Amino acid sequence: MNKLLLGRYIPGDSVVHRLDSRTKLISAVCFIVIIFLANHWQSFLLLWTFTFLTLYLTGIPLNIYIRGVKPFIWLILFAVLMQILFTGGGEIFFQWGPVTISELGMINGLNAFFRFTLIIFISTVVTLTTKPVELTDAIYFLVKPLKVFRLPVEEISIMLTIALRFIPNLFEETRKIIDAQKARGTEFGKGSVFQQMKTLVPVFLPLFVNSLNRAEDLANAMEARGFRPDMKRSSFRQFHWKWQDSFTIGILVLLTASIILIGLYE
Amino acid sequence: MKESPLPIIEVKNLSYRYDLRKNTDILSSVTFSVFKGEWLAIVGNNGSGKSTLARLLAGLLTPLEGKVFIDGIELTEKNKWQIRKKIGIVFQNPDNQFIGTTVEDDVAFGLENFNIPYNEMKQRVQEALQMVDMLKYRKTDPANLSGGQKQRVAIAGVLAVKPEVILLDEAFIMLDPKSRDDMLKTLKTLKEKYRLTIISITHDMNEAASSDRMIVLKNGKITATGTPGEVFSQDPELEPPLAEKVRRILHNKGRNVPDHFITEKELISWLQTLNS
Ligand SMILES: Nc1ncnc2c1ncn2[C@@H]1O[C@H](COP(=O)(O)OP(=O)(O)OP(=O)(O)O)[C@@H](O)[C@H]1O
Ligand SMILES: [Mg+2]
Repeated sequence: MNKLLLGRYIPGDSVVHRLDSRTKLISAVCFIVIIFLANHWQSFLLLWTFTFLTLYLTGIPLNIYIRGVKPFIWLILFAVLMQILFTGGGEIFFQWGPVTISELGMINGLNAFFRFTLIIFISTVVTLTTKPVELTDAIYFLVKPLKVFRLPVEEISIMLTIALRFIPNLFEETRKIIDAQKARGTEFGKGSVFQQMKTLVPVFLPLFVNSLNRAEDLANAMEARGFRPDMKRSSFRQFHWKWQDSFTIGILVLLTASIILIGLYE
Repeated sequence: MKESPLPIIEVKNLSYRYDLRKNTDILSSVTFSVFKGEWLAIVGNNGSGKSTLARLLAGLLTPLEGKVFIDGIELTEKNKWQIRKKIGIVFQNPDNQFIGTTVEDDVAFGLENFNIPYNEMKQRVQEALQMVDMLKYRKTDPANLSGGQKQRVAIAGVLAVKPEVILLDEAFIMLDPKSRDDMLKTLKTLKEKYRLTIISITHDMNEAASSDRMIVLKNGKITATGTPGEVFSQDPELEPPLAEKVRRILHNKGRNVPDHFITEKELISWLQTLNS
């Protein structure tokens, strides 16, 4: 659980931490889109500069980001290899049946590598510097217009927020149950796959029952405190748009324009 | 007694069963009133139906029989939302009623539901957190709070809404003795200041002894009701508070103690008369 960095917030007070969550979300989405527009080394140079500058500004050590890439390393290598081995074009260095190692293949492989790592870096920046609730709030804000299609946007957002609130409890409970089972002599991670799955049943069953009880208590508490799904509620967490947010959006517009221009003229 | 004759809560012949197939009532024909500005303690053994009563008063359960009136209005499926502004409940388990992702978010939850504007909300959250001495933890998330701290946040959440009645279901059980005394004092002050009504479900007999009135529940029935003095002398099974225990022991040894129920204060002044 400690290994997966994506989705873990690291408290801090950097410029990036203090940006509005909507700015971060929009910028990340925009950045991921332009990553796919980039096709030239100049574009990638720009994107990498932007990314490293952002990483630096978060004040979080670089090795934490690199650790964030690690779980995806096999996926990245696979994608890169596919590009290298199966795209032809340009000067051909080696050919054997369907396998061709060509200049274009090498370039595509490198691009694939860049794209994957850039996406992971940038999404890690967002999740490490933004509280999950704030992200939910940002998502809620951005999809709010969908209410005209009668989508229960508010309810979904409340559900997400509460789910986020209880994830640590769930981990905690799982750990306790596993410890309790270990104390009774269950050995986890031994034997065949089938046996391992069998040892997990007495973990998930109590977890499931506990969650149901918890959900009932929680629904009661929410109702007793006046929660009504179909009523207008005010919001305690407010967005604060600052000049840094406008500045960030400005930079992204510039970046997008540059990538498009490089694509057109190179 | 300070109580005025106006009942803020009236419970009439209330009965309840979780499982309709069984024919033993969890609560059977419970009738009582709570007066405005009163501190009512409800005591009873585990499983006697105290929390069930609390859920019925909040309109979370529908009674099998009987009626609940809050501030003169009958509690029904239709107007329960309106009534929830008047009665705030702190439940037994502090973890499962913590809804926000941080302390201040959680305190604000009730206010958000009643659509209170942001500026007022901010102020009320701060005041409520100050009252329970949790202001410095306002950005903390629940995973990093102790059980007692969560209970205090839950109390703040109810205080922020400023209800007329506060129902506490063993809400001090995880507080250390000093915090518990502080919390009781805070609530007593608020009660005097705003004529707040407090119903406290408790196993702490010293706390119950300091209430205005007590109700004893046994197997879903009210077996005794009255001032702590009356109840503790009526019900021999009830474990009395310390002062009363001391008095009984001295009484049995033939000492010249008052032969009625005494509070801690009365015990102290009696002890002082011995000295002089
Ligand atoms: N959700 C439920 N479903 C079915 N039965 C329940 C439920 N909650 C409580 N009961 C039963 O109702 C009875 C009264 O429970 P209640 O929680 O009201 O007791 P209590 O007086 O609050 O006890 P405690 O002092 O332990 O908090 C118990 O016998 C319990 O088993
Ligand atoms: Mg109870």
